[in-house]
Amino acid sequence: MLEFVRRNRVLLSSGFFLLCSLGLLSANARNPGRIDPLGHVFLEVMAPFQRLTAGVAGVTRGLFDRYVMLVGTQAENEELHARIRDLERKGTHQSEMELMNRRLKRLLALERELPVKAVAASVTARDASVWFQSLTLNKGELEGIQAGMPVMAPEGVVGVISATSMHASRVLLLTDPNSGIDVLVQRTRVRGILSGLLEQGTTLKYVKRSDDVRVGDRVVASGLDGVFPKGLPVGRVTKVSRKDRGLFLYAEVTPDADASRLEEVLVALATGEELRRPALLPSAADVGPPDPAMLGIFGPPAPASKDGRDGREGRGAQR
Amino acid sequence: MSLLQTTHAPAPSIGAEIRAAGIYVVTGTCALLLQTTVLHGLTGGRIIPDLVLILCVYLGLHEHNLGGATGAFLLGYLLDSFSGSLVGLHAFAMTTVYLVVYLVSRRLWMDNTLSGVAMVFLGSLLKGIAIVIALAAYLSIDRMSFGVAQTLFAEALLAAALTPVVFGVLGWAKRGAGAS
Repeated sequence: MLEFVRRNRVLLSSGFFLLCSLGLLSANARNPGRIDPLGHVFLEVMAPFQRLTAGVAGVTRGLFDRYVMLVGTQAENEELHARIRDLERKGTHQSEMELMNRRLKRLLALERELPVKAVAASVTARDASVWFQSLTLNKGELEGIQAGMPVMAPEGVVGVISATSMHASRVLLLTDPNSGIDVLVQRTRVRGILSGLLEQGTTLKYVKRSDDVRVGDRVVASGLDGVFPKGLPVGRVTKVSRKDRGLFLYAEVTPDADASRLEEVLVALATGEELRRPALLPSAADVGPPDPAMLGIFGPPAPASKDGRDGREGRGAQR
Repeated sequence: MSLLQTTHAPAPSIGAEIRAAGIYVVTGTCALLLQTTVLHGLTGGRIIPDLVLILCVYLGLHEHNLGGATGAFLLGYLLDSFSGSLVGLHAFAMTTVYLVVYLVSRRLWMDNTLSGVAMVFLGSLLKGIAIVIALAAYLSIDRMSFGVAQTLFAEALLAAALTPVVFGVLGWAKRGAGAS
């Protein structure tokens, strides 16, 4: 018996770990809360290393861009290049500061509009896999961040905090296939669930084929999921198709906040009812009647989607 | 030389095993750090070379013991902590890759870089397929386009291309630490 175990120890241990993985998978798929006994430790231990690596990478990239690429020409025009480099460095630094200033001002404006306290955090790392979409932030439980809190950028919804440690936290982006946000099409108030695609982008789920959704329509948070404030911009419809069989139409939405370019985000330190208090962000009702151009009364039709169909394709199919 | 592997290396000492484990921990941590920071910036996030998978294949080829299986599971779990929200997905995929590579390497001679490249390519495809199947089963994803297959293939090619470097670094580190 002992000899059998010894001879097949790799097979037996691999089988055991496969069962453990499937157990974890099943438990996490069934349970809305994250069951992750070691993730908290990994996140906390790796956070300082990630910050350090990101910092070193940034400095190295800067050095490479400024110096290594100019080695050939530097030999010919040393003095001129020194001046150019100096000016470039100052210019780049100034532009960087201006951009950061602009970003932080917009973040501050968003923070003031929120009915609850919020914390600004920097993005220190991104998802380790190409199949999922998440970010790591440089702030965690010490700043009051907890799982389930909404993450926003001045452009709109970014995602939800999915895991935290003392000094770091992870954000599940709305473009992740495992995310789901209750949203409204601003023009027609049609409700749906916005979820990420396994490829890039997001899709609007559970919208009836007969509902009026067109390319170019704005999508905003409905506030009904108790996570995001009502009226917070989410994205814009870029493709509508009613060709597939089934009860629902297929609509792709491009998020307003491009997560690949985000450097700072805002985490609202509240969930549920606190965020449902008076919507300070403009909803359709607040901003008045929709723009006639958006309704297609006059002016050009909604922009064509990638495959050459426009938003009216759906209405044609409906008729 | 027959393709069938018939010889076994003598069992390493406990000290060598501990040193090897230390090298795997450091390499795994560095691989994950690179995957979550630097490599994202280089590739724009569209395709990320999976260094952790290469390490997992290396374990399957060289560590035929309890530590190898545990290492593959922990590497997957570590990846789960920094990827997506479904804990256990990468742990499952990495353990599967380790098991398949182990079974193949028990039957075929796998002691050169080229066979390692081939195993990483196949392992990457296997990992992608395992993830897609698990996602389809647990998240009921109903739409998968040709783009998914393209991404799978590109990711596998990139991982295979980096295999000689990662295997070389691991071999060098193990020789240097007297752990090989």
